[in-house]
Amino acid sequence: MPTRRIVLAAPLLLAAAPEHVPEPRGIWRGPVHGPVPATLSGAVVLDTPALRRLIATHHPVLIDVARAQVRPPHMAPDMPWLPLPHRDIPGSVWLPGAGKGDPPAGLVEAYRARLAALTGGDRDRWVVVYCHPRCWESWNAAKRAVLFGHRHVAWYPGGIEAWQAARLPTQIARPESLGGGAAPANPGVTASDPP
Amino acid sequence: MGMTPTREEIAGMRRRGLMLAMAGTALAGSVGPVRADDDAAARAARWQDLRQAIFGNRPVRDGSGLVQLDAPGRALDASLVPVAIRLTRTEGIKGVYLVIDNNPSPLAAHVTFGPEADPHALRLRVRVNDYTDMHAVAETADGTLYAVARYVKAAGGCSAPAGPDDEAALRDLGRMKLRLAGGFATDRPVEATLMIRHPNFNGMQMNQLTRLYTPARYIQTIDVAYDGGRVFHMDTDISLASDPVIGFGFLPTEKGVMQVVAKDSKDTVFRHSFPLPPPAT
Amino acid sequence: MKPGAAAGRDGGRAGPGPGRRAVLAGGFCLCCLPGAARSATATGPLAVTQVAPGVYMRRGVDEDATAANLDAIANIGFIVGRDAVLVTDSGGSLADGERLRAAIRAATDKPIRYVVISHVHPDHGFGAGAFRPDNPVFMGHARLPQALAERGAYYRQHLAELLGPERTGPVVMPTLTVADHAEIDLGERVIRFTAHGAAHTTSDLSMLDQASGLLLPADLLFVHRAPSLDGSLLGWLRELDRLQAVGAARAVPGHGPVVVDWVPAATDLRHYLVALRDGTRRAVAADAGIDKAVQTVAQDERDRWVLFDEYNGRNVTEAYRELEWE
Repeated sequence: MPTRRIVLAAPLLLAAAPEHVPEPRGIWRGPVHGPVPATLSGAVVLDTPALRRLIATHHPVLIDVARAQVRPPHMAPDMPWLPLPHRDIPGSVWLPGAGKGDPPAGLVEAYRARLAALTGGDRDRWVVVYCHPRCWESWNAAKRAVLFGHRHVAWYPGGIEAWQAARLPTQIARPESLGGGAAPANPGVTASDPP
Repeated sequence: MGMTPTREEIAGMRRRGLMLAMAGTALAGSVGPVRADDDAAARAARWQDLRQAIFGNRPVRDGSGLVQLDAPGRALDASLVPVAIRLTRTEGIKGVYLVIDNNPSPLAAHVTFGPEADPHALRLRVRVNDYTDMHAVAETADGTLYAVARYVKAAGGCSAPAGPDDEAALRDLGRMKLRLAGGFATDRPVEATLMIRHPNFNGMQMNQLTRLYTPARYIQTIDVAYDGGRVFHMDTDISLASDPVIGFGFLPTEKGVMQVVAKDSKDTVFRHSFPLPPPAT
Repeated sequence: MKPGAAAGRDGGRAGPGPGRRAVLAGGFCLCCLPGAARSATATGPLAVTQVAPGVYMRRGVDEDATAANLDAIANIGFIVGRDAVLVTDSGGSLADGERLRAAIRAATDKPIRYVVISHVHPDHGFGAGAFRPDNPVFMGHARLPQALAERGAYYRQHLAELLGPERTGPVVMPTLTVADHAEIDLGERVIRFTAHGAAHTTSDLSMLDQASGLLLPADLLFVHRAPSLDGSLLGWLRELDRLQAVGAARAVPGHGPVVVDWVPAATDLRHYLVALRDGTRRAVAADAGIDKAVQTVAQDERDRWVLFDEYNGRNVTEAYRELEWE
């Protein structure tokens, strides 16, 4: 798929130049954390200033796919598990697990339906996908949005950390379940990611 | 706390004893993410939530006359923060709680004392995930709770990546040492330090080479007895630093044996007996 | 938990005097006298000193990394053989490395065939990206790849926050690693490498320039600036003994004057490490706990080292954990 023409007035710059890897064909199924590509075919890649401009001018749907923290296994029932609230970009919808490389049955369909609802069925509505730096799940989730047929998809690889580093306000997020059966998996339980 | 190795997460990294002491690059204290829970109102609200979760509706009084919490204002290593809980009196003390407010598992330890204990000082090493208040809460025999707080600047202590050296630590699992400060005596309280080899994996540590999370395996209870009488029982979990080191006091009246039983989240039990006074080496 | 400072003391910054005089061997020298520890700036020539025939070094500033100094805080330089150039450490940032590379190109046309990354710390290796166009062999300890895999991204992120990503540069992995010893020949100039056991870090690589007899132990030798312990205290003392046995007269430390007499410099460093070891052992035996040990151990050494307060506490914490299981 050809790279989308950049529609914003200002040129988009990559925030940093970490070592990059080539885009995989299809969805990435390797370990979740590590060097990610510099591009996403069918989407644009945003740094923080470009994302702010996009939010101001195009009111995109903001999708946060960061995994939720889950209680370590075997914790004694009376030991409280109270992670601090997850914070993300104001106005975002939090769909943990939407970028999983090996999703449970039904998750991808649920994600497709959620995106359709959030964009009001308008494939030209901008969709921005993010999670954390050096994390493949936002790349995967943005790739899925492209494959669903959304025509203006942006990937924000800097993620929540880059937004916070720019001292921008955040919101407390509430996770939405994407069905497909189980709650977001506990990374501590799964000793390996599928190859 | 995110799932990728953010700045804070790697800031806490160490292998067995390794610290991120780089020759000259500024570390903690340089530019970092905004801490949303920095202000006093947010911290107070968090403590209210924790009080409710741990103590329910029980009143918690100001403990400044009874309890003292020592911790470094700025931790040198967030995955190994030494804290001490000191009490001004030792009679009628049922136990103490250590709460690290902004840790995802905030009740770092709950210690209940037995008849052989001298509870005037308890020392622990903990992981601190982000700048936070810590609370020490003493419980008296009648069930009253007394709390004091201290603010600690540290970040990343919960995400220290596991590496080959931590895997090697598993081979040494459960080895224990007991040190007595000032030697053994039967006419005064004795200060002891118990050391247990255990990586205390919390399930949030990513091995940077394999990029997989090391499965959680952490100590949950520690029971110390002297000549069959309880010294203390500790409930703990992932906020305790790896290779736990616990300082405590006890009151021997005669020579005897210190018995330690520790259990981890895989239900593995580690036992050790220390004859006291220790045999001359 | 800083130990109380005596009135008038400047937090450790008032260190010892100029100490060792570097020998100006004449010939190529872009600028300054040895020991001129001024802040590097973003522009301006890189000042190198010829410390032995064909060996040129730039002294790092005794500061922590800042935007102004570009993390140019380590001693870096190059060795020129008949056929090729070896870079002894490449600098603390891409910007620092580029300035070194420009200095090399101004000095010689010979190809840059080897770039050494003496250990994992960023002030020694982040200039390596500047040399990629030369397609050199990047040399490091056999444990360097793992150490960089563990920390490289974090170092990069931190430096980028200070300097900006375009001046920070990439994490460069070694293409040739040394597990024990190695030798390379720059053309009638053999350089011998030694991979050390855990000491300053777990990835320390030292060099001996056989033509001049100069020892380049990198951060196994700190002069003037407080050493940082990030490997093994007991191991560092052992590796110092090993280096002693090499019998070199002069050495290029990782920090401090660009060249020193080996024996007195190593003696001073050993003195600090022994104070750290013995003081920590006493604290462990007395069950003092880490927080008290940080306040009491090696305090007699404070006036001998710049940035003492910034590093000694962390060194004590590291040493305590290493020694308490003895």
